[in-house]
Amino acid sequence: MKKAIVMDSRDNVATLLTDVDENDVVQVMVGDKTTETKVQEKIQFGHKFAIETISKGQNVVKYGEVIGQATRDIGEGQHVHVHNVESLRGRGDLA
Amino acid sequence: MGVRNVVAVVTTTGCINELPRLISRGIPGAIPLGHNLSCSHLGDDLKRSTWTLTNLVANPNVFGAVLVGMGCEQMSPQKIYEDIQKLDKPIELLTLKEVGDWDELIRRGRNAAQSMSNQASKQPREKAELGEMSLAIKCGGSDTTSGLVSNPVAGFVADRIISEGGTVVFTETPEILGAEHVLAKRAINKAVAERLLEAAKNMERRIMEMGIDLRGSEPTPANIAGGLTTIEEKSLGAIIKAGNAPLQGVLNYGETPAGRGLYFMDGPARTAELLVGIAAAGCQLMVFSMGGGLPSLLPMLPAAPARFPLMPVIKMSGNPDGYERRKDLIDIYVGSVIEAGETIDQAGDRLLREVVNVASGENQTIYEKGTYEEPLLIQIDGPSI
Repeated sequence: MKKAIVMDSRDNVATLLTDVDENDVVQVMVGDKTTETKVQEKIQFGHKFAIETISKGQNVVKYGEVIGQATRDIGEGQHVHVHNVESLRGRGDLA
Repeated sequence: MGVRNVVAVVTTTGCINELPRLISRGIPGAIPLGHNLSCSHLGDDLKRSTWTLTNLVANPNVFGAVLVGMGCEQMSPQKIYEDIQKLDKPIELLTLKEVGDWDELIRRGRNAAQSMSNQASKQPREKAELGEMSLAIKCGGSDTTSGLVSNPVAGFVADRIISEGGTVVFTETPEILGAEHVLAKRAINKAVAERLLEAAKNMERRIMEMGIDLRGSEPTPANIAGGLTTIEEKSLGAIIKAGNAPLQGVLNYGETPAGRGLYFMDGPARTAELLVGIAAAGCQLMVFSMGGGLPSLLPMLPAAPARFPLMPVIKMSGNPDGYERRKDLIDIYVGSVIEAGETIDQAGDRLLREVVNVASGENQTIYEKGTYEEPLLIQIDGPSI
């Protein structure tokens, strides 16, 4: 089965350990526990998907820490990357 | 104690970068160290480059040095010469002003370098403890496997070396943005924590003043292709390479730590500049933790094409994706943690053995075998005049 890993139990994203296609069911490892998520699109190895709904403006959390903010609503199983997450640091463009 | 025994031929101004090459040519173990600094650099840049070059020659991998200068430059060859003399290493100072003739300077420089090379070759290797090591750890060409595999493996080795009484230095101030609060909690006291937070704040302020979004430079397009979305994500994965030891202090670029244990150097992430600063901190060896993708297809280091013979660099990758294409370009592969269920500790033990083998001279690293040479890049903050 295709696998993904969650770095910390507080995270709302998982990192893929294989390439996945739309509708693949992925085994998601959180510490010693395993859950399953159906991914909604084709996503590359090493990229992230949401393991729960992340609303626009909500923090994206990995390693138990904030890695950015959602710029639109992200559904469970959707790709989480630069198209729907913005960084909160080094934003001279907003200053 | 050094893990290599080179004769450094160093300039005090970039005006004469051709001299180290002409002087060291064909002499075993002699390495040319020209650089980018000249009278066009002022104030703090001049001070930083002076202590950096002095500390670079003080690196335990350097047997002795031939220092060549113009004699009219702002950086004082005499001061570097006197500081190195205190270290009890052979050093020869030659300036064009004193010698008066280019060809004669080369002849005298070659005689000095050859004599030091002969002396260095007579020194037998000696047994050393792991605790005598100062290890540099850097990550580059990062992707999401860096925080998952190769940085935790590097962190395992960092913790082991520190537990034996050794030193580990890591740097890259842009790559603690978003993770500085996590690192600051590990500082041994409030002053160290504040210094670290100040370093991150200053770096971010300078970026903000440019009026741009850092994304595209941090993370780079290659990082983004590898799945890293923001600098926060990259930083949180990057600090894992430094293990879990308490943070003893924050160093300036090119500064040598006062004690043992874990140190952070406030400096750039750009590899070519970073190599000089961290070797000046006295590190004998570097572990370079990589992801996959395009940067991993380089036989050299990302952002540092020229070899850096003063400090061996072990390239490690933990990304199984496309590994077959680049297996001859990395020194140690730890993607087996993802592919084959190897644990981080097992891969860490393998890396530690590789560190020992490279330190003892049994293994030469891929980057060490490179042939392309170019002057050193020393960090500059101020204007070029």
